[in-house]
Amino acid sequence: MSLLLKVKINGVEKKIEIQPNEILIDVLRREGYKGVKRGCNEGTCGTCTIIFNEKTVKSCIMLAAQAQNGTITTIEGIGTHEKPHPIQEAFVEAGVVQCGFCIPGMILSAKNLLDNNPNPTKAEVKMALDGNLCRCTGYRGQIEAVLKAAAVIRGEK
Amino acid sequence: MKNLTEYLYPSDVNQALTLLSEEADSEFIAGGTGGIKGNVTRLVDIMQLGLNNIIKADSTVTIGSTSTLTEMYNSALIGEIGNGVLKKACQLCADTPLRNVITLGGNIAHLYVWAGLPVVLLSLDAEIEIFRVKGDSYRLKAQEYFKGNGIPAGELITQVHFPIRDDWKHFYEKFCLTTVDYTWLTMAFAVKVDGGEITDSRIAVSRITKVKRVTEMENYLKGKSLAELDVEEAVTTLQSSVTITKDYRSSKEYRKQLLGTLFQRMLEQLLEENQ
Amino acid sequence: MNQKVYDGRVVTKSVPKKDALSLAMGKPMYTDDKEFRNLAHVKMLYSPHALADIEEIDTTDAEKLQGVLSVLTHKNCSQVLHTSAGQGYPEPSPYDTRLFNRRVKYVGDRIAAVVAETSKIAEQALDLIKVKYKVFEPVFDHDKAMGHKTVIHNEGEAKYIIPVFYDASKNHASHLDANVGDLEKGFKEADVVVEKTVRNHYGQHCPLEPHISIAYIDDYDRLVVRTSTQVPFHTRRILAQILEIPLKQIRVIKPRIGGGFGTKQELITDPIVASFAWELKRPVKYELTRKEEFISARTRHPMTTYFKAGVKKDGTITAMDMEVTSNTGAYGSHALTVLSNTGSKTLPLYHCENIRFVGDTVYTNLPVAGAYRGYGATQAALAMEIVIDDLAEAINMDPAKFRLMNHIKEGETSPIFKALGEGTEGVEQTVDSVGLSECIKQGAERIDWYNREENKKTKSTKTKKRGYGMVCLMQGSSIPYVDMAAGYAKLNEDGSFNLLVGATDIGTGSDTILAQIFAEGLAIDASDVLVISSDTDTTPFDTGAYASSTTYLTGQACVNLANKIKDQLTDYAAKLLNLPRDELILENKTVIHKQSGKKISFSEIGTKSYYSEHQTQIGAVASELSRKSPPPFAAHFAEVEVDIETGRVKVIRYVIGVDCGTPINPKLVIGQSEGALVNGISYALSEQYFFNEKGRMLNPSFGNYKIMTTIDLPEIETIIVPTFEPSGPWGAKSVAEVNINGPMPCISNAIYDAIGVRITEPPFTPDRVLKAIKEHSKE
Repeated sequence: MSLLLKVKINGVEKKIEIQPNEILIDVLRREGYKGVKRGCNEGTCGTCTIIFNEKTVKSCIMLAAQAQNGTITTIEGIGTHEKPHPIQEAFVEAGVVQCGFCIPGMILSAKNLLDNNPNPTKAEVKMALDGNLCRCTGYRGQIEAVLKAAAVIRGEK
Repeated sequence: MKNLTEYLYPSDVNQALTLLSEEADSEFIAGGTGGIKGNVTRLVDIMQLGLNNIIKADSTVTIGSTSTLTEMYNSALIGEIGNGVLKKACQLCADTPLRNVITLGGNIAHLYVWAGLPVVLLSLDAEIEIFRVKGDSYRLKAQEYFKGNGIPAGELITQVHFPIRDDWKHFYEKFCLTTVDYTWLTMAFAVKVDGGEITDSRIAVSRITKVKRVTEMENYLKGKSLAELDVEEAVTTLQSSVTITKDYRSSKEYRKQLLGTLFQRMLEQLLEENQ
Repeated sequence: MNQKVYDGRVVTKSVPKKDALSLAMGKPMYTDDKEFRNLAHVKMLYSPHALADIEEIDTTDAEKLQGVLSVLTHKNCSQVLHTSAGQGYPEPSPYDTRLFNRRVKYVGDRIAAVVAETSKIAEQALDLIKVKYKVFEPVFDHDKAMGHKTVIHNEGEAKYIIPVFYDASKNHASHLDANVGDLEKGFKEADVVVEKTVRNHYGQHCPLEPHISIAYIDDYDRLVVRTSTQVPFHTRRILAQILEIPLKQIRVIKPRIGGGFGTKQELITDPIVASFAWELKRPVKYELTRKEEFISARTRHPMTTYFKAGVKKDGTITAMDMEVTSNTGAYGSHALTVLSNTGSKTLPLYHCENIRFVGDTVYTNLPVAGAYRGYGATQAALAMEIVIDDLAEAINMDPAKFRLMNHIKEGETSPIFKALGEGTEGVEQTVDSVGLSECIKQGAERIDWYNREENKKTKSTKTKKRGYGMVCLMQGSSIPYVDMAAGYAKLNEDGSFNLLVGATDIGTGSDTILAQIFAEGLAIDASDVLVISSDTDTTPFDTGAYASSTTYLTGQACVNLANKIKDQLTDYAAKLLNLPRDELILENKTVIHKQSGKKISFSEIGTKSYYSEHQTQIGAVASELSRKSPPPFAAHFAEVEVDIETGRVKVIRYVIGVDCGTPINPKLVIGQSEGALVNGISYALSEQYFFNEKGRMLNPSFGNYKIMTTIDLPEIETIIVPTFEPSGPWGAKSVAEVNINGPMPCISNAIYDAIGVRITEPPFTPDRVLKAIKEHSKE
């Protein structure tokens, strides 16, 4: 028995027909949001991270139905080639986008942190990213890039 | 979940309980991270029943069962409970996006071996409020609740009442391989000291055994003066009071040793703080 | 030391990675991000037994299920015996497998593949496949596997296609030995002799994107495979071999991929989708689940490494003896080559006249080992660098000073280079760029190495002890006389270039650094170079992303290419400007005659050469054959804290000093170094395969196979020590692998420094460390 999912994705109201047992990542990727990645499909790697109702969640262990009447931000809602988000710029400048598979999830985790805490400590940045695995970079560069982006957003740089 | 055909959004507790009782293979869903049984046909979403209150009254803080770990971690009121022991336990669960959806109720409803909060409910003598169909509710002390098999079918945890007990000393440890990991051993230790004497205590452990209070240990400590406390004896008493279950990740010998070491450090810290 | 260092205009600058912003925007650039109409999906049935013959397999009910399109088993799959290893031809790995084998050899080996309209249907069909097994007693212990009564590959067909040792009847997948000088004499000369046996464990690469391939038939009836691979050209060739269709009927394309680290130097999902797509004439996708990635992809070879060395009181190393037993698991991909690397990428590091190396690889009924960053050097470094520390201690010399004294110096050679190749004979070489002394000096200074005794005292408590350790490392850059790389470039009318390379960017940034290397030779910017890579139809050959070859070898091919283009531009300009060509130079995207000031820009050349004057396509192809394998070097320093009551080891601080010749892109060098480092620390401290008594892996998920997260990250720092490698592009060597070899021995040395306990069997998990502490106190 299908149901109609009413959800706002990247600022756009959507009505999507879903099955009750469909997983959110499958629905999002089906709808074209390929930036939501499937690294493990069991909630342990964070590459599927999205922002849902102003907090990060792992979309591969969430039923699409749980998102009813909610607000979703995916990486496609952040920045453009002409005007990238400061976090995207900081990541690019720091040279920390290697294979890139973890990056959308990381950027969303970082954005969610900075939206709520514009002046985080290094420890707070580490905690905000603790659900995003990365095998390419060793994390140090991303952590510093988030701190740099925070300063830019605060208008300090 | 191939049989799942219905996903419903009740707006109050009674409606939620009714929807659950109507259909045989129904389940409640809150955060949804605990894994949903394969034969479920109906899911009843409980996240919009307004059960995310955090209220203080006298010396008790009442937390709604669908409060998420992140909400709890960020709450100043919850920071008062046990001088921050509940907040610490929340912080050490899982990771940020999981803490954003894992609920208090979800962490205690099904006695998951990895759950981080049950030992704290035990160490604080929290009371769990449960609703049954037709508005009938009852309360269970944590000690009684955790002796069972989790929430009975057809019932819903709505609130947990936590005594603040800031006049006790509280300790909490979660030991695992990496910080974001399923626990190897979780324990909570709460102790009341009056005039240099232990007048009461609670010790709860989980994962190395099914979650429980180690009442033998609590009896051992009762009445002991801190000045005369034999830490080594206390440690070996605790170690022999717990039957450690198998875990492929490390030997029983190791975890027995670990249990002793963690408790020893708690006692040493207690003695140091009471000088 | 030759102080020459190259300061480039485009190279040595941290040019932003070409795909960085697009990836940071989540653009659909990976294999699964392209949608195909009519896509069919594959699911795989795996063996529950570690060793069994399939007596009967009945797929009729599965085939009848609505939506199932086809089922592959050993009965109807390609019967071509091959190796799944992505290596050059003739492959130095045994041909010991078909797509499906009647005799299955580990829990996780393949039984049957189903392709269906949806993956749900394919999964349902698996349950309908009926299999009758004859189960045999497996062998799991690699120290007991050789000559074991259980013969794993007993079909009598498996063989190498090159003349090397192989004896499947003894589970003996390869054997190597090398002898230099007189070992016995060397040990007699020593004042102190130390020996150690170490054992390293299973580990998985954990690329965040699992293996995934999509195959389809194009409009010309050709098979196109879009796949997450490190080796597109080897994949094409081996697919042609397995499917027995002409190679020219096959095209392999690598889009952006989510990491590889060696596990994708292999054909895993590709031949299955290719097989089905060829049969059904429609697109087929196969993506491994994370569980399948752990169990049924590839892993690091567990090994037992014995190392014995002798030293004189004055610090001279007189003899080195290395014996390796390597566990290749159920199949032999990379069995020989990883083995040879254990010796060839460690033994040359220190001066020694008397060296013996003996290595054996054996089969076991466990998950298959393959290529994994470090490739044998990781395992052997554990043994060697621990013993080097022991030797230094025995003669009362500081470990850093001992290594400074003994490490190979610029201009020197080692007999091991000739004695140990990588499947073929080794190649003699001198090392012409060695920044190791400087790496040691700068790393030591940064971590305050020479004050460590004082630091240890002040920072240690009753239960938490601090310790410091260090190691030196080397690797290689490409495989001499085996690896070849090529590039093709053409000028566009606006003065930009298309650079086409077979080289495989697996997140490493090779597209970017090759653009930099090419641009450096032509007075243009990296942004003027548009790179297309890894498409067997359009890009020239490259062996692929392994053996740390891309920067060094494909880089040099791009230098050669730039030189050819430079000639063409100069020739063309000479014609147009009517000036002698040897008076013309390239500067700022222009060919210029300094004496007269006459010039012509590349864009003008582009437009005129296309349309109006002496029309010609300015373009060239160039290749480079590897002739040597100049080692990158590194010195690692770690500060650790050991909790002697819980056994927990924490890395507090870790400093790397790395010499990769000219750093083409410093931020990417740091990225490679730190990524390898954190992977290595994670492998040393918390990664582990748990097996039950039947050989089934118990923890195939990130939930229970623990890799590092941000929370546990120690303070890490990378110091780049530039040198100049004469044979490398603008002086560069590669850097991708070397740093992963450091953490195991470095942390072991630091633990020993902290608590006097030598731990030789990682991972250094709390329970294992505490056990070692207890056993030590009993001695």
